Amino acid sequence: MESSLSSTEIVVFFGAGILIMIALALVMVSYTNRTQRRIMTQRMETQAAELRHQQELLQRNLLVQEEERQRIAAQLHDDIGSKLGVLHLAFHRLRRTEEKEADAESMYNEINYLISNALETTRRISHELLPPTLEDFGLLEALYEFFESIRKTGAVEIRFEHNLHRSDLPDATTELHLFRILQELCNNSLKYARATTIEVDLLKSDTGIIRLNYRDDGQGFDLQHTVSKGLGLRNLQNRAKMIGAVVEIRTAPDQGFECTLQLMKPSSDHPI
Amino acid sequence: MWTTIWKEFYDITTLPLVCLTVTCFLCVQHWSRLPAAFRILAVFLFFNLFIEIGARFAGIFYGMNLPLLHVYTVGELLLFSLFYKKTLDPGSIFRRYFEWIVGTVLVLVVLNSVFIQHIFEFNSYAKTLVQILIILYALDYAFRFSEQAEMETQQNRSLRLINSAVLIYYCGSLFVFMSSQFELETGGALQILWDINTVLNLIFQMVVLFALWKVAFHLPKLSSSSAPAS
Repeated sequence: MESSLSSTEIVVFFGAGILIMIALALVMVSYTNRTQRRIMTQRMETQAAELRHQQELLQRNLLVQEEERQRIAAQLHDDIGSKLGVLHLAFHRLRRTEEKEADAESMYNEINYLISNALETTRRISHELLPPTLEDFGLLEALYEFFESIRKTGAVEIRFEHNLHRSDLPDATTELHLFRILQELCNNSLKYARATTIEVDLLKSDTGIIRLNYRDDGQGFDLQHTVSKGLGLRNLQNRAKMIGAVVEIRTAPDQGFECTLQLMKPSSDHPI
Repeated sequence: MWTTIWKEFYDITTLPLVCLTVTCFLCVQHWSRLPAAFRILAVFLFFNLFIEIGARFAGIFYGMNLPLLHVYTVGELLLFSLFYKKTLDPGSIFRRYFEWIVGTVLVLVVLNSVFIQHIFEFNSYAKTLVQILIILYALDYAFRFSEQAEMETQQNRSLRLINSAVLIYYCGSLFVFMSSQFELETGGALQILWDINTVLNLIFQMVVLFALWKVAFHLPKLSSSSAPAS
């Protein structure tokens, strides 16, 4: 090919071409990488927002659940319970005053038994939903009562130690959530872990941090597998989060279960 | 003869060749771990190594290796087209009209070798055309990938890396091959451009080696019954 360009001009021309093309390619690579990173960041932010929203929904769900429990417990106690009580008294009055036939006695006894039974059941359900001791005397008394009721079954040995006063706990919400957490943990130890010993320490450090240590000698489980599925553990973690506590769980098959909950700050953000 | 061979290989251009050889060994050793697209790239690398070594020996024994460049151009066109067919988005124009685009370019390359730049001449037109097509593939991939933000897997990271290397190398070497038609008139002054090409080639080979290395050691081994991911 004929050319009017000198060899230097040709080299400069093609050299400049090469440099320009490389520069363009580098700009292109840099642009696409930056765009991709930006989109990935946006996607991650969206995912984080969705996760936060889900967390809020779960927490709201727990709050509603507690409110509902309180309402049912109150209705059982105040409405059905009191009506059954009145009925019981009325029945006794009737029994004393009325002329009775011989076979009516057994019928009275049967009705009496049923009313007493219904009263007892109502009281028990009401207490299970919201232990009156928790409201009246606080977490520590409620825990003593709760552990005693488990101990009476003879299924498990429970050791409970604490160095707290009621005033050490920030508020009623924190007490309620701690109580529910321990209820959940004990329920798991009895129902799934077949534990024979449970140890609970509720201790306040010199720095004012409250730490709950829960241990059982049950069969343990594969934490990685269970955390993704266990609703109980998720609820536990959500409750801990609601009172600003950090949870740490250590367990493995045949190695028991241990849960440490550290209350980081007083919680009054989510009153029930 | 050994002295001649040593002189032929005792050159900066041997560095990319060494890198290419290592990559080919890696591909052979971990072939079962490579997804489909990477296997096509591996075939291109084997072909590249074969042509490169063949060209060196043809230069020594026959004093002429340009026919191999014509063969290389065809192989480069077909194998890179297949590689990008596997990696480009299904909606890409290059995938939708794959046969037409590759067929047309292939015909032009062959016609160039038959009628315009014979097999004993430098096929700068054909090489430039193929390089432009490969650059367009790489640009298409880069744009679509940046818009989609696919899941950040090792395979995607390696593909992105290889695509960047392709884009930089082929953009840089485009003018080198275009300049080759002025080789005689400049009397060897263009050697500096070929040195730049060697450096770009070395970078390309190193990036490809790194990307394939990452894929070979980070992807699970594919069983014979499972379809390789593309």
